[in-house]
Amino acid sequence: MNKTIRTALISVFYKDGLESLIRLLHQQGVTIYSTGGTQTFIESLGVPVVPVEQLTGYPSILGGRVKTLHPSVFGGILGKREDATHVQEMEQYKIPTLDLVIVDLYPFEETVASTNDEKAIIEKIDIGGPSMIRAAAKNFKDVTVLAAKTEYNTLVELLTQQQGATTLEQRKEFAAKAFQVVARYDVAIAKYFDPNATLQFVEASGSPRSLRYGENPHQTATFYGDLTSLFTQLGGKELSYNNLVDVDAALQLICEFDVPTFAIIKHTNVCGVAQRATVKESWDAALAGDPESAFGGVLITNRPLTPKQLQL
Amino acid sequence: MNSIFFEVLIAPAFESEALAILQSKKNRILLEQKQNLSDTVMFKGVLGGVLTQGTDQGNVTTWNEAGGRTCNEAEKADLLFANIVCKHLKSNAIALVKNKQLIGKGCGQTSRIDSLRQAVEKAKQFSADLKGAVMASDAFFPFDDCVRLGHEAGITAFIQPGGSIRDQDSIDYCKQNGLAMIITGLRHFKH
Repeated sequence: MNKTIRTALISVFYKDGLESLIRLLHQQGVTIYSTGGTQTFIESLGVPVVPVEQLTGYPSILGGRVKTLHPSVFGGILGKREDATHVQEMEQYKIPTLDLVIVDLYPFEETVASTNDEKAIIEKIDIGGPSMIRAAAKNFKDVTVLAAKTEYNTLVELLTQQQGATTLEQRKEFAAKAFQVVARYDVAIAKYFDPNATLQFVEASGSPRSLRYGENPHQTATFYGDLTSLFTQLGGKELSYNNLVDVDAALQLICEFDVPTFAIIKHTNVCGVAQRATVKESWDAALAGDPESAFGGVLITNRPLTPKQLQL
Repeated sequence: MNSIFFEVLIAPAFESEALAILQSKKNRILLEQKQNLSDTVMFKGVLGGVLTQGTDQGNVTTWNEAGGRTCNEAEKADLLFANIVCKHLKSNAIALVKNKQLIGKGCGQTSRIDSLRQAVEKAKQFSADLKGAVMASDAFFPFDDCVRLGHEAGITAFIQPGGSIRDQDSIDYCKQNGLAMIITGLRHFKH
């Protein structure tokens, strides 16, 4: 079901890329509510904006820890527009509906990476942000939620094409992405409190890499992790599922050795490995151990490769 | 090396001239490795869930000379090397090493003696001389058949975790035949 957006709550840490969306919302007659820095930013664009304080009747308190945590804000997001009791209660308590919520989160991971100051880190645990995002995503039947700046352009396109409205399907997609943002954020916080927590899968889901196929062509596959921190690819086709499995086996083996070593991996097994004074001699010996199986394998060494060593 | 077909080549650095030659094959994947793996946890999907476990780190910490003699320095170096290689082969795993070169391996077999037979066969296939070679096994020898067959093939030193109720049979065979045997107490299954 299409819903025309009439009101929006915007509160973001990163303002870049936001301008065109705000101008479009203004042009489409949307009432914009905002807080702090975002409010100042919107005003600087010459676009009228209603401070959230006006809704809540409270200023930002406790050093900014409590700004939006108020029934007037959360009622406006969570109220079901087709529920007579909800509508009646919202009227009774003078709660305006909020049709669009654009909120990003305090940069927790960036803060952890840049300081050891626990106090500063703790203050970057966003409370209001995730709460608003979750509330808006929960009520996707009525509310559009954007939890990342990468979605701004998508919404601009949709609102332009659809005369300021979003479809139910689109709102559900935004909700799904929003829940992922919040989940990943919580994982980062949990990892800060316990660095040994085994949360790698959730943590990595921010950058999944779709593979052409899995172990066999009829199987689908995705890699969750960060290859760029491990490698620079200098040539060749895209790494396949089986390549990744073998490359992992190769790396696990090679990190056992300090002296010049050359190894050949086939289907995760070592089919040749040797240690000699030079890479070239190591390669010759590794290959000689089983020249037949080496065909199509994964080769690894722990020394730089030069033309001489390649027998080129 | 350039004439041989391989899928992936990983190295810490590629000299530009070498890189240009290697890149002549379009599909060949070349990876410049920036750092070692630092994983301490590994995952496996089973039964619709995920199993996690610590990675199998490290090599021998206990060096129990249980055979007919202690191993010599060359054998010791090869035994340590073979034991690491064995850890990276699918169970049941046998690695035969001589002079820091893997010259025979058996892996992924459902019985240990089959892996050993495969390893010996591989070595013979490429005319490797097993005389004075060493053998690593990822888990204990269930019977004395492995040391027996290894000895017949020319192996002079063994390394294995021990833990079989028939350990003594293998130990006795080594003692009777002047073979070195190291018992580590550290198993390296990889399934």
